[in-house]
Amino acid sequence: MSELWQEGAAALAAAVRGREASALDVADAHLDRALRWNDHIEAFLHLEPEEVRRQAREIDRRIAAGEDPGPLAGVPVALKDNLCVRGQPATCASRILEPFVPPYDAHVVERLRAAGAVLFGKTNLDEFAMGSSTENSAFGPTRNPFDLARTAGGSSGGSAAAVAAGLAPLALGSDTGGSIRQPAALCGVVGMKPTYGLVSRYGLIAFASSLDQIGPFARTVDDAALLLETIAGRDARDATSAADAVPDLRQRGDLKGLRVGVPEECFGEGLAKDVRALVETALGRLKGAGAKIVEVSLPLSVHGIAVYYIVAPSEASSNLARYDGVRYGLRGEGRSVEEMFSETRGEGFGPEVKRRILLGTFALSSGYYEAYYGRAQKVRAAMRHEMEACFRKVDVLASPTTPTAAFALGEKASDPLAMYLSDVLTVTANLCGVPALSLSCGRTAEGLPVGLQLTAPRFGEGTLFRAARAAEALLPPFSWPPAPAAGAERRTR
Amino acid sequence: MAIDPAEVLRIARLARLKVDPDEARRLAKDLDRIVHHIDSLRSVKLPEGAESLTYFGRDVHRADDARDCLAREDALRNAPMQDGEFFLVPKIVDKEES
Repeated sequence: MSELWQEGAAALAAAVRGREASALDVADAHLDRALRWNDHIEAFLHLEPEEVRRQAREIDRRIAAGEDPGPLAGVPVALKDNLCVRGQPATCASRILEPFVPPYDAHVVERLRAAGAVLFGKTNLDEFAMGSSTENSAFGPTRNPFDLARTAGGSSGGSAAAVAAGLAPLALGSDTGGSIRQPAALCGVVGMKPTYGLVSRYGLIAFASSLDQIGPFARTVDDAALLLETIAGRDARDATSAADAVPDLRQRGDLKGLRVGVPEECFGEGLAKDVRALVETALGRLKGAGAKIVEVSLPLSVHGIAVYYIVAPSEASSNLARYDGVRYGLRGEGRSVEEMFSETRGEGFGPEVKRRILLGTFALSSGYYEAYYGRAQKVRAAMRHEMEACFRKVDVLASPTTPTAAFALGEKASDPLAMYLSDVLTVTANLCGVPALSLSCGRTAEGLPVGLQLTAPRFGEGTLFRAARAAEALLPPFSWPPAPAAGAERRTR
Repeated sequence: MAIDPAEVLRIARLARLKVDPDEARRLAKDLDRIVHHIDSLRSVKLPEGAESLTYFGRDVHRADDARDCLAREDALRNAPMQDGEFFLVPKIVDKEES
């Protein structure tokens, strides 16, 4: 066996269950690496070594007693800091929730515990998951392990960076407009957004409830499937949790005859040359392995960003109304209740969250509701029909995940619209409720990872993972980022 | 639709969000550009009576049974001000009004 931190989740669980390695050894190997790397990449907001070791010892105790802790026995899983773990902070990278300690576990956390996983700290994100670079975190940005001057992507940048750097074999993120797939692409790992309703949102701190889904990060497609299997399925505490059976995620098979649709709109203006070249090479390999490449068109997808930036902020303005200084979090001063509300929110929210609350409040306000929110809902329905019609002709869609590889920290921080446009290829899957997965298809000349995005129809995860496994075997394998320099010279900001 | 600082302050009041005048000027500039972008949706041709997508699932009902919920102690633990029984807030009713 190579070093424990280099192993994937399935191998680690097998080693722990087979008593070849203790859960404590696995935890210590990852803690050691995390404590050394985190100063450079700032992937974690909270990581308590003693709490991690306590969970690992408990797994070892159960194994010694002859129990089987489950399919993720002793596997460290990092959690985005908008997921609730009883007794651990959940800040959403916001000042307003800095003092908040959830009194309950999210559904996905209950599932992880039941599968024998070791909860491995809370990862950085853009405040309330609003952003594409983690630069909106109130606690500072996460850096890309492949180039510390660049973004790890966002909003789940901490989870992506942690998995890419070997600080944890698995992580969970949430994806509202690309917040799992975009950072996965920029950090060279696998990231997946499930069908809307496949994973319960109970205990995920809400951003935009009709778009939010929790999903896995891993270094291989198999490990991502293993984590999704653990967290998927009906939960009555989320009214949008689907009653449909969880698709079989273990399908294997070659690509012969698989119809892969390539939407022309995903290869338009703004797509970087090096990204286009790597994705086209990947598509060539799929074709060489027997896939049938079909050119398709999704004309309404070009309106995705406009629809998204009405729907998501509108839902956010409603969801974030709960942060009023009464029940949890920060409280500002005020002589009246209304003054206290306004002070609390003015002090507690960062600039991007304020922009989105205001944008959403505007879109929902009297006189504008029909023109903005009403119209966006109609275009969204039309986009969904267009997507469904497309899936009558093809089995999966393939495209780049992002228009460019990782951009420099600071490059887009002062231009919100430019930042929004970096989600152009990922928002459609959220608006249509379909599953999508990003896997690495190589690196640019500068050594930066590029993602290939595969999209399937609703509850088409079986086909999606089968296609992703076959594609993974044809693409360059995961490779580790270089060790950060010992000094602070690479920390540019 | 153009957004100016006065409009930002009007929306901010609706959102119970304190925004100072400098911030309102910056936000007006940002929001104006964003609203200009989303105004492109006006050009999308939709059929008469086009449906809206608000929800993916089916209507969900559950039995009207009493269930365990968060214990009071747990629910109050995160409150900035509480007295062991209730959340405490600044006075809501002014003396003159009462």
